[in-house]
Amino acid sequence: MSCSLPQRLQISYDAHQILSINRRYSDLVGAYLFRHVVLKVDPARLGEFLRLVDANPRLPEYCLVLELWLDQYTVRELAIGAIQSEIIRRLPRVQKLILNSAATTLRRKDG
Amino acid sequence: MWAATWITSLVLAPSYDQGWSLQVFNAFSMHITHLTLSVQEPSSVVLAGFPECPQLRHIELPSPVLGDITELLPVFTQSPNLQHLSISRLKVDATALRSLKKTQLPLSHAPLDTFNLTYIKSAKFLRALISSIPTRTLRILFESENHASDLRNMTRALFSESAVRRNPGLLKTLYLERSGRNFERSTIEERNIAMETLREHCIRSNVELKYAFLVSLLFTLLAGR
Repeated sequence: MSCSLPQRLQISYDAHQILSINRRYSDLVGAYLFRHVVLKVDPARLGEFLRLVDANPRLPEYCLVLELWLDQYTVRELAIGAIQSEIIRRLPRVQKLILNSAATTLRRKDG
Repeated sequence: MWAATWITSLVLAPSYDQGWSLQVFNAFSMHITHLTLSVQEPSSVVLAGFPECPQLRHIELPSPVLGDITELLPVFTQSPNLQHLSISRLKVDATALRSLKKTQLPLSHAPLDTFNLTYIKSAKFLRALISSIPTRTLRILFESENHASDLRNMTRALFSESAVRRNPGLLKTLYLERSGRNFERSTIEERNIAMETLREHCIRSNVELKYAFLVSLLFTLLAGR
């Protein structure tokens, strides 16, 4: 009986605390060969994701599909040039880009 | 070190800012081979501003992206290498047929390899549409209430004298799927006769015919109550 390894990594709004405080999360990301990365974070958390990518060279090497869930505020703030220069530059093997609508974040709703 | 690649497949699904979606599309248009526009409202801004896509081969336009059939025109003119087109649940109103004839799709575009049509209810419109866009493989999912009429329209659209004259020997494969979600108005005999006629035309024209009837168990149970 064989067991397949996870290939899809999803980082959502709730994960930002884990990204910030738990180094083991980063080790966990580095332990697998993720081909599909789903990112549901607002621009304020983008830096943390970029640091995660920089700390895990296997992520850019294996990631072929990038899925971004952006809320309407993010779309207004985040230029497509930033997606290209910040995210896609760090994940140069990505061939498929999926852009989806995310619900507005709680933080922004509260603000 | 690994080599950088291009984004070749783009799925655009944000539903709130079409201007932004078009900006994204423009940024990747020169290298994409696959495009899916999947939004919750008609994407007239994106389709009207459809950029030049020299590599685009495969496009999916699920409902309700296309508000009107004329919006397909820039897709064809800007994608000279388009081979696969999927359209689903296109809204067909009283003016749609006139629009289609006026648009004269797809101009001088080469025939498609695959043309997928899903849930287009107007038989007349469907007939005009498949006459307008020549293809080698045609896959249609029907959800109308008169399947015998669907089959007769299909036969006329593909095998009438004018259709055969227009694209002789082009069509190689015809996949027909019929959804069992609607109540059926035609009788079994009518459907059998229509199916047999279509099958004979396919055999004569050397077209492979595949047919499937999709039955929803839940619908069957509810309808039976």
